[in-house]
Amino acid sequence: MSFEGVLNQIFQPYFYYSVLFLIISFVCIKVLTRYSHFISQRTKSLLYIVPLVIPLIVMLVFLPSTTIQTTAIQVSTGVPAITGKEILTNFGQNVTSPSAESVLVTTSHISILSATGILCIIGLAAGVTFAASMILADDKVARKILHVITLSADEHQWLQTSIIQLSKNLGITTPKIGIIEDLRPNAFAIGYGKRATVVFSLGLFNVLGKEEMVAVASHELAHLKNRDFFYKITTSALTAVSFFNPLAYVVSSTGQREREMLADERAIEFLEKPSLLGNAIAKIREVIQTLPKESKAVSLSSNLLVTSSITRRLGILSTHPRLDKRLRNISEPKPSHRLNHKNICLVACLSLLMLCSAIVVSNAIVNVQTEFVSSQNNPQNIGLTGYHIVGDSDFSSSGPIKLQFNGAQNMSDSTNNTVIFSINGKDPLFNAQSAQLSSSILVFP
Amino acid sequence: MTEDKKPDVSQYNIDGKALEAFLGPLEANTMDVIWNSRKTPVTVREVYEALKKTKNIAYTTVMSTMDRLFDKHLLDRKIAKGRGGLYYVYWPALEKQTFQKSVVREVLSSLIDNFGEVVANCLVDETCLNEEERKVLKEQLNKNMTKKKE
Repeated sequence: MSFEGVLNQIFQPYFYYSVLFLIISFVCIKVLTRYSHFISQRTKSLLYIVPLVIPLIVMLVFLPSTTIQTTAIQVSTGVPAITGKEILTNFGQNVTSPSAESVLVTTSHISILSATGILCIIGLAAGVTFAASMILADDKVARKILHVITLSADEHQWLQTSIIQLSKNLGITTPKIGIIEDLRPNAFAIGYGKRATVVFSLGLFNVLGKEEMVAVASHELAHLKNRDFFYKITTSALTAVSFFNPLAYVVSSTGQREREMLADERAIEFLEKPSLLGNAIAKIREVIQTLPKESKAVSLSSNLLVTSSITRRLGILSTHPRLDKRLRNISEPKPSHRLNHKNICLVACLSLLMLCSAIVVSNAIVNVQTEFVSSQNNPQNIGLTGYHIVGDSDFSSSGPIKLQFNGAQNMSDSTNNTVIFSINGKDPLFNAQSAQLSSSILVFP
Repeated sequence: MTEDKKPDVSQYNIDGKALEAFLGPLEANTMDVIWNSRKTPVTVREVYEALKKTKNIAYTTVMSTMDRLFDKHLLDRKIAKGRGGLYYVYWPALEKQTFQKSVVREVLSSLIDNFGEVVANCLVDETCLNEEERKVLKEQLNKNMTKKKE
């Protein structure tokens, strides 16, 4: 595909609007949540769904398709008709035209999926399939892939008793308790509702004391209480829709980091010593650094299946916040989330500023796109050499197309998209040995 | 598998059948599963899943049993990296026959040290069918034991 072709695909309305609005909305929300400490973790995490939903809405508004206009030219003297496809094939070549009395030009518009449209449809299908399979069989798949073993009633009874008590306090159904053989310290939740399981690794039992284990269990139960399973599925499925956009992964990870902080906040509400959770997280991070890293495949599969793992990789795609930030969130008193006059003004000013910035940026980008499209549609580039267009020169519109052959009379046919040229056989240009055909007559963005 | 490793088996159960004479019932079952396993090394989970087919058992019980067998030098282990993360994998330190030979020799040696000729006579009585064979074997065994004592 030529550079022009690539630009043509990128400037499909669906594609650039979805990418553009995702970026703009993410930056706006990031700025808003960064400087507005009174917004709760829950609200922050929910706000991060907005940029991921936008491409879906844009897909419904601007269907990810492109219109191709095909043109058929028929010469009345029995010469086989030249179809649009043949003209395309003959692009750049001289097509010898015989002396003819008349030429029939027939145009038709066909909507097909653009390359970017195909990407979007693949992403949408992947997202829907992922969400459906996770809701139907997440716990079974996760158990099988991660080799989760459910604890029987007489194993680690102290932990089971604590989890039953914590579940009562949180008002959730007591989940099953599972273990995995991994020697790395880790804990996570899989499934939801009655199918939920809180899983601990053997490594966690080796690293943490009993009270710290209960603190970690409290964190995982808080994820179940917050319904983070559904948050995870929603963000993952929406990310799949925009899988070609790297920023979608960043948005999803940022949202999940907020859910982690929210789970920490909720967990410590039910712990006698909230500092235990901080100690446990610090210990886990310390030990993890001394152990070999998990492979990419394991990391990816557990990322998709597990609602929340207590340990995750660091960096921009991390689903977990930085340790210092997390410990500060646990230990420091929370600011009031109530909106007072000062806060309202601040939010309003920030929102207005971001809205203006968004309008300016999007306007600039849309202008670039418009210029590109208009350069593609320039009538001077359309048509056969020797012809020029009169009247309605927009080939993408329906209705009769009026072409005038230099020095010849034209006669519009009443049929839409069809025009019959009455050619004066003595016309000097048409009687020239060749007429060059351009492909730009065929394809419109 | 290392031939020279000596299993740490310090008891003999007179009522136990086969391996259970030297090991606890679960230890014996675990060793049987590992010796008969087509895949080595094995994880605790794999042994647990094999044992669970025949008896109701907890994972942590199997884990502590395999830990004990490792301490007794019946199993070797190392940390492996795989789909389940980092985990222990186990394999038998001795072949089944080597283990049996080793522990039977220990028991016999102990019996002979403590009871001498009685053991020899009992062995011959238990194993030989006719009188002539018994006589020859007893004489030979007594000679050997006298030499060993000297």
